[in-house]
Amino acid sequence: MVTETVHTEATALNRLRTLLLEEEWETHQKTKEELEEIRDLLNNYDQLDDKLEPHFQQHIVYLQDNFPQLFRKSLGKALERQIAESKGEIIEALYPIIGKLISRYIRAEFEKLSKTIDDAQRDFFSLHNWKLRLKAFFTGVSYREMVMQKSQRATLEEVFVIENESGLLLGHFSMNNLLDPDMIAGMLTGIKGFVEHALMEGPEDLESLSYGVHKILVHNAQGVYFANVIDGQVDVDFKTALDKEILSFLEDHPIHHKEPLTEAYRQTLSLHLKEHFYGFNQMDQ
Amino acid sequence: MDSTKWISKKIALLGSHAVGKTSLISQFVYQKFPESYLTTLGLKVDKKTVEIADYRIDLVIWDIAGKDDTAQVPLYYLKGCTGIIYVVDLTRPSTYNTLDQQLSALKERVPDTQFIVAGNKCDLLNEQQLAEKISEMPIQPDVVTSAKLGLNVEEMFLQLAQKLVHQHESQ
Repeated sequence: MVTETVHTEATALNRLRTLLLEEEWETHQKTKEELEEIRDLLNNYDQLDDKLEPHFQQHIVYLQDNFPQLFRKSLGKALERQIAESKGEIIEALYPIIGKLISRYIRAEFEKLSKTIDDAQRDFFSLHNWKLRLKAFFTGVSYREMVMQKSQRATLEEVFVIENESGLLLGHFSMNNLLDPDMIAGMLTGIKGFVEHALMEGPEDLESLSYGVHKILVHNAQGVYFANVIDGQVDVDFKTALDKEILSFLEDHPIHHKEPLTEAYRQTLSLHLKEHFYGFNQMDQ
Repeated sequence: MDSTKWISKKIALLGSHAVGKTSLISQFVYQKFPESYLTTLGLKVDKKTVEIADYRIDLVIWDIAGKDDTAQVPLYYLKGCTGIIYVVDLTRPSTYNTLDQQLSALKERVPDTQFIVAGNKCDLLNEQQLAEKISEMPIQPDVVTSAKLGLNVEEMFLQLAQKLVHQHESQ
């Protein structure tokens, strides 16, 4: 009798437990299954790759697009530190290149200087030499300094005659043809037009452009302009001599160009330019 | 070659920004299509020699930075131009909506200049779309081009050169 009662109570208790804990039990089972799935996923690299790949790709694209903004500061600092710490190595790496450039430049300059001094010595009894000595005596500048100045004298490299309006090249003379003169003439006219219209107030014209050791001196004339490429230090004497030479050229060969521009016209003018300016660098300015 | 039949002419390409002016020139002069877009700052000058009949023509090509309104193009860039190619982007109506007004204004500023209207980027449209776009335009283009594919590019420049030779002979 007692056993039967106990059995009944146990069954009732079990039923009660089932009733009360059924929901928790289901949740527990579900959680266990999900946990199993996650464990499987983590242990299976191929599956994990498939899942994470799109996110990684997205993040990579984001990093690529925003790299400068995100890492500018840290990269800058890192580079600064790296440069500061590796000054020696950088100098070591660049030294041969810079060294070669410097030595080549110095060699070329010495060659020029030595040639000029040789010429001056050779011409010791020449009229030019005695003029230079007399000039040195009266100006107080040493003869040696005058010879040095002469060695750095500007030289005329190219002469372009360009139509003002169109920028078309009417004639060209060059000591050493380097670039396409038509393109240079067009770009020069564009730059000249821009500077004169956008930057200058009033009727001023662009007079010169400088790049490195070169200078372009602009001489405006009627309907055309002369763009003269010069190498070296331009002084007043040189500029005056060049202006004088251009005026003399215009006197000898007035330019009355009217459309259309033919190669025949250009060849003739270029020939005149060559005849007129070929010996300019040998002239005493 | 008779040097009196070797002539130099200044031509310019105009139109709104990013219509393909620089790409057309690059395709014509260097047979290359620049894959990345770099906006033209101010001006770039190129040159190509072409032969039409018994003439040899040095085309000095001014690639002028794009402007939606040609009145903004400085006159000193246009002076002395004997030919102008006005380029529109067939896929962007804003580049050709006022084409008639732009051309009239240009013809007033540079009279005696030969004009060609080019509808560029035709490779981005199918035949039907192309026909629709052309019918929308206030002025029909003289030539439809694709700088990317090199389609009609050389033909367009030669067409202009031909006009310049006619003009030259009638002078």
